[in-house]
Amino acid sequence: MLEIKNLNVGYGEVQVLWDIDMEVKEGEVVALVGSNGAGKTTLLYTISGLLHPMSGSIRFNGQEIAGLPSEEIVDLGITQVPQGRKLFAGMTVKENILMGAYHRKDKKQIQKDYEFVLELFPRMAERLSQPAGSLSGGEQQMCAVARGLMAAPKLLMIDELSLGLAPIIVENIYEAVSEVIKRGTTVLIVEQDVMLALEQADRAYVLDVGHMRMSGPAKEMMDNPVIKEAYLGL
Amino acid sequence: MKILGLEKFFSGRKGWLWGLFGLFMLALAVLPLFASGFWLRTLTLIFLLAAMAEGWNYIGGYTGYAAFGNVAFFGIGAYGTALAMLRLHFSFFPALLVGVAAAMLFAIVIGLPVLRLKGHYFAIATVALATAVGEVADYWTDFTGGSAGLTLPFFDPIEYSGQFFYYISFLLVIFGLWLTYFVMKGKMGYSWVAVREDEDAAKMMGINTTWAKVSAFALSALMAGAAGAIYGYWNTFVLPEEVFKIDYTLQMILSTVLGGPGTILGPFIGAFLYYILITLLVFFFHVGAFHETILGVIIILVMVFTPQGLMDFLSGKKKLTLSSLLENIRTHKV
Repeated sequence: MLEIKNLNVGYGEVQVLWDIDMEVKEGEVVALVGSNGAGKTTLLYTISGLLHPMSGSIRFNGQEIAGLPSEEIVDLGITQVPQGRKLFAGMTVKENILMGAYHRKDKKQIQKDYEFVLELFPRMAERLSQPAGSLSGGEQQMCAVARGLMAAPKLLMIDELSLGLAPIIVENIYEAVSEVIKRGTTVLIVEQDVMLALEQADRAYVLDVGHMRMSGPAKEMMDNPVIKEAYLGL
Repeated sequence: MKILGLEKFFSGRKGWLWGLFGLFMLALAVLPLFASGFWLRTLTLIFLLAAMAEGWNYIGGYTGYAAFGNVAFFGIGAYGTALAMLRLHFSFFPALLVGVAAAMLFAIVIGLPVLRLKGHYFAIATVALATAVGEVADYWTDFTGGSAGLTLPFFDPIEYSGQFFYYISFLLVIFGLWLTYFVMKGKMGYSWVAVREDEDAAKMMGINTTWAKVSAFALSALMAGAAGAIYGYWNTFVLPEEVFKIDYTLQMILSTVLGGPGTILGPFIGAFLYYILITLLVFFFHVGAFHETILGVIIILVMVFTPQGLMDFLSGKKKLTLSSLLENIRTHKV
């Protein structure tokens, strides 16, 4: 579904990602892990079209998308739940959730998806008319995931969902995400919390200061001594 | 349920606010039957300011881009109309369309590169552009008449001139309010607010942020351009240093900020507020530029204590108490 080859990305003169290769197959859950500053968010921004690569290729369902404007990439079915949630703080929860469907025109299906995300996050249904900026951290993350789902993505990329949240809330939200996965959405999970990401994923990639160090089935990664030592502290 | 509806719009205290507003508009509509020329002129000026403020609100209030050069649209609107009347012998209304179209075209052509800048870079670029356009009008003598300006014919019949300019400006204000309402209940309005709240997130939602910003800029040019067109014909004289005066930009920003940026009625109410303030200040402190100093202080106080303008209190979102004013300082990290 998503094939990245020899991707180089940078900000101005400063290169951040070197020769990245990565693949996400349809129906798969892939984890992208790595420490702070490894370039995970940069990679997601490049896939989303917010950054344009220096060189290399990103193909989505066979179509080259590297360098396309972000709105066309969203139209093709790639959406991200960004790091730091990036909600529209002044809009209500409902408006935020519906903003996810901004690019869609299938009103009936939007309505169905809206009902589905409110079932998934009942807390959001209680807070619909509240400004998103007034929500707690966990609720904001729920709102951000709900907004992402409203885009009806084929590939959903979730960036640092667990950051700054209590474990119980993280678990709660990941339960909702696994509900989405069951419905056949392909998911790319980006996490600093390596264990958490590996538990969710079928396969995993390890990004280390701009280079793709390792990849393989998530189960094997958990047993890999290098991973254990570097990221799990075992 | 309506997708992206504005259901919170009529809730709270806004109900009676709209009732009051309706009565006020009705009073304004019948006023020329009773009022003297002085009041007509004063209100016409306020209407033109309100129209420009409504326009500035699109780019500055809803989209969150601090445009400091909107007087360029006012000037281009005035010049476009004057030139169409003098060179092409158009009557006023077709000429007004020429002026507005010129202002909007300029906004689009300039907006595409300049709206890539953010924050103070954008603000400075717009100031520079407005100054540059004023200079062009001043020195391109063959086309614009240069610093001698352009003289327009009087409105005919002249005894109805006051009423004509009063009503045409009033209509422009109402058009501006309708346009704001119409845009803000639709997708375009939401794209503006999304850009203001988080431009990256707006892109992630599939919003073409370039188009969102340029459309806000072009519609603010529409309002300022139309105001300039009316002003030029009313004044029967178009002069570079008059129609490209940076004071006009400041006035539209102040009106919007006083009334409430990012609200439908805010700029309209703010224009009245600004005019009353300035009149009182001139009345009490008629020494030279001193009243402007006082105005500056008032603006700072407004920015610090009510960054959302008067609309925050009128709409019932907040109560006008000392604690809520202090709360504003904390939440906005002034």
